[in-house]
Amino acid sequence: MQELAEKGLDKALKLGVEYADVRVIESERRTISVKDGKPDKLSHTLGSGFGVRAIVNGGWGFAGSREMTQEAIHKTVEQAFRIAKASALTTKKKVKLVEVPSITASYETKIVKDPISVPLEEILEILISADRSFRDKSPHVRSTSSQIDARREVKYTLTSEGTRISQKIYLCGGEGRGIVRGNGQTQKRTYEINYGSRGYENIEEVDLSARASQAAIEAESLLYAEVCPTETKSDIILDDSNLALQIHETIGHGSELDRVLGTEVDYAGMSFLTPDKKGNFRYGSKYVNFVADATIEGAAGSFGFDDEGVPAKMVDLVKNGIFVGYQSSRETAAEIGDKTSSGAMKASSPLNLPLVRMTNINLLPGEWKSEEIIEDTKEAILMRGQNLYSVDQMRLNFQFGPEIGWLIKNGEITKVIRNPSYTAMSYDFWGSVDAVAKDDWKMYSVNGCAKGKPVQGIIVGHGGSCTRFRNIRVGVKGGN
Amino acid sequence: MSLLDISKWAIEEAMRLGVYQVEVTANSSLDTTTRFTKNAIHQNLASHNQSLSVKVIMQDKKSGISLVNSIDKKIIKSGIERAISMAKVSLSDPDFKTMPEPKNITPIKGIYYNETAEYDPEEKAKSVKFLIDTAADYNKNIKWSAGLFTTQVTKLAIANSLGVGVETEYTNSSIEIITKAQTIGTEGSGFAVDRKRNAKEIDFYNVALNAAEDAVSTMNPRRIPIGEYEAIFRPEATTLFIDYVGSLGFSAKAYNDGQSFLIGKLGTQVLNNKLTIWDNGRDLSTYMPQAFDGEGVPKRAIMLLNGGVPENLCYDNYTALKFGKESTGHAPISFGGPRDSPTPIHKIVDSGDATSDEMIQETKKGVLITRFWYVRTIRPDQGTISGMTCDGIWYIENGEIKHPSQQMRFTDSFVRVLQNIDLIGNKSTVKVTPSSTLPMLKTANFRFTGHTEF
Repeated sequence: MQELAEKGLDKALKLGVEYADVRVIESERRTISVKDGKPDKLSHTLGSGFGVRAIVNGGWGFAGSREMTQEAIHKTVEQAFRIAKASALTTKKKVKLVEVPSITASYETKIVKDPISVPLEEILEILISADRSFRDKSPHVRSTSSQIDARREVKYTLTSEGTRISQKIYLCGGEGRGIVRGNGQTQKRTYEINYGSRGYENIEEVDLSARASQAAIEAESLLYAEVCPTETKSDIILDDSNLALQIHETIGHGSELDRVLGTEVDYAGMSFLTPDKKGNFRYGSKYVNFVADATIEGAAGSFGFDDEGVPAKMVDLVKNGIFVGYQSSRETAAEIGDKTSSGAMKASSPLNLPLVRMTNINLLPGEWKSEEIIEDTKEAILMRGQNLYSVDQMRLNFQFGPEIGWLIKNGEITKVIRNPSYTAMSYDFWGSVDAVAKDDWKMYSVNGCAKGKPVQGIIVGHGGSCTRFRNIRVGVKGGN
Repeated sequence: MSLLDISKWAIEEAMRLGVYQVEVTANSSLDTTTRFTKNAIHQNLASHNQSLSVKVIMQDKKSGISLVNSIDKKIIKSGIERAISMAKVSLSDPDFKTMPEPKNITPIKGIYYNETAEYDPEEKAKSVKFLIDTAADYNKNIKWSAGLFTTQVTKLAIANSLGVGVETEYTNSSIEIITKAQTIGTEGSGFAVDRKRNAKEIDFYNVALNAAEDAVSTMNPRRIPIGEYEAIFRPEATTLFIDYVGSLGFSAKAYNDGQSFLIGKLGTQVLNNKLTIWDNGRDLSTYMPQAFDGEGVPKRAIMLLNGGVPENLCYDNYTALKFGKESTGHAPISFGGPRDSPTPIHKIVDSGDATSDEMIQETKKGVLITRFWYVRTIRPDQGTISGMTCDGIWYIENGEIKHPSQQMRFTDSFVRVLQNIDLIGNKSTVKVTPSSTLPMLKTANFRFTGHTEF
């Protein structure tokens, strides 16, 4: 692999590029899924390929191929060179990159047990047992499905500036869900194993059957629960994967600098967090602190180096409620006059162009205990479970509809509420936070984050803990 | 070796290793994407992809799947062995009966164009520059354009051990543009698209003009109150509702999983009697016609909705045999993973007789909508969805467009929207996702539930 990458880079330098990088990747993925109590699909993917970026006359070009031969990489480099020259025909200003020290390094995810080598029978047993647990607790079950997914990627990144990086990154996780139907209602509850850049221990540490049982009990309760109050204002509390999704869709995507600069207008949209707001815009209350942190060991979005060879780092996005920084690349950082990239460039395959992607975007813990937040709440709705989410093109207006809610009254969790929903503007929403817990802070994952054209799907991490939002519009008319 | 020859070789290898049945899907593609923003190309790429997916079924009806990104026989063989090892630990699937038998398939002519395959990077850059310049020249308030120009050349082969062996080669190309207009204190946004199998037939000039015209005409938007309005949907907006009807309604899997809004309603009046929807994978008016589905079963036309009455569901071979039906040729093409639900992807909505102007004239208090963005499902069984309008919405009163509106959030049931259709446009346009052909629609009721700031 490394030799092939060097041959590609040599070719690029001979052609006279201003800059080039080459990524050569081999990957393996195993997905085991169970549906309605029986193995559904057992699949294995063996992938390889390379991608070449080049700057010529100040324009970008990229080409990628699956054919791992010298002839193919030479041809692909020539294609990237030609495309870059063509791009320059429309370029008004030449591409500039912020400096990054050239480095020779390697990185490997710390694992205890290789998740791809675990006997298939063992994984099937976990999934079938969880499926059975859901069915045992749910007389109204209509369908169940679950899967465990494990990935390994070996990647060499070479740049014309002298960087040589090898990385081996593991990722594994899974989820299940059950659909129940009764009393004129169809309801769903999911149970997950958050993805982590870890080994099979990430699966083993979770009692998936217990989670499936609880999910089934909750799904059943939804069939006979009262509907969420319609078109009213209420305090809400988020403390699980739906909080992770909320972070993801608002500050996560909103602070991606490429989006701010308009490079995703044709697909993923833009962001209202324009550079004039950096350092002075109040995005949240003083209790709100967000970071992008690729250094958290075992988190879904962690790595050693991004696809431009920038070492993993933690950067502040929102500090004490003030928007202070972006997720960026070498090019986008240069465009707004930043001195360094946040190290967020990632491609989902060798055939894709690296883009600014979330690593682990985390809401930092506050001072409360989660039970104190509940006890301190007079009336609110606690909402859990990723379900509906929709955000506008500028990451301002959003509407979420989690899977389940509970009414909190006088400091106690009381009855279940079905079809909860809430809507707000991003900065109003985070501005309403008055309590963030520290004791239940943990890492979650959001799967299938999509960006770019061709669309690239990745898995990213989000840290968070029980958080209270004041006076939010809930029960959107027509949504329940 | 052709992809079909390689697939047949892989089938022989798998059979030699003792599998009961095997299906191979092989593809090779060259995709190019030229993205531009702020009037310049910022991402410009070409990707050569290849993959070969093997699905094996053992004698005891256990199955396994593998995917390799190579046509090297040694690597394919290791993929087959992986699929078999996975199948061996799987459990028997009593619902599996058999893979499909071969049937006569008439190839479709006019789906491959050299002009698309040979469109080189310099030509692409020049076409994009022409597009950008045409939009910029339309009006002094045009600020910039963004978008993408794509071409795809795809070879595909599907074969199984019962003798299915089909292959095809096709091309596609599309241009999408979003143009921004700006003057002091206000901004407007216009969107236009063209999709052709022959890239040389793309009408860059009119695409640029349409986007620029809408960008200028959406400057100075006003906020309209939340509530119910009559709504006219341009074809890009229409596609949202018709796609939901297809994926949540007519998939035999969704129907039997309890996720379809049509449960127990086949043969009854569910949507407006003006609405008729076919699915026909062989129809050349769709963007990506296909002679066969992902299992190599011939595509054929089926009536989905006849005057608002749902008539037929879409089946692949598996669901067809499970529920005692015949495959309708709707198995999605699957690479290395579970096959998605059988859904209609070549939907054709029968045109009506209303012009765009007539639709506006017939509107007492309503909106004209270009397209939607980030729409998600709330209640699949009731068809409830929520999302944003995007790139062009205008307020209409007493038969006249009064002013552009800020973008709005809607939360509504697509079933309700399509029950209340009162006019259907007289022209159909090719829309993607991936291949529908649709007219404009007008509905009597559409519910807005939120505002944003632009």
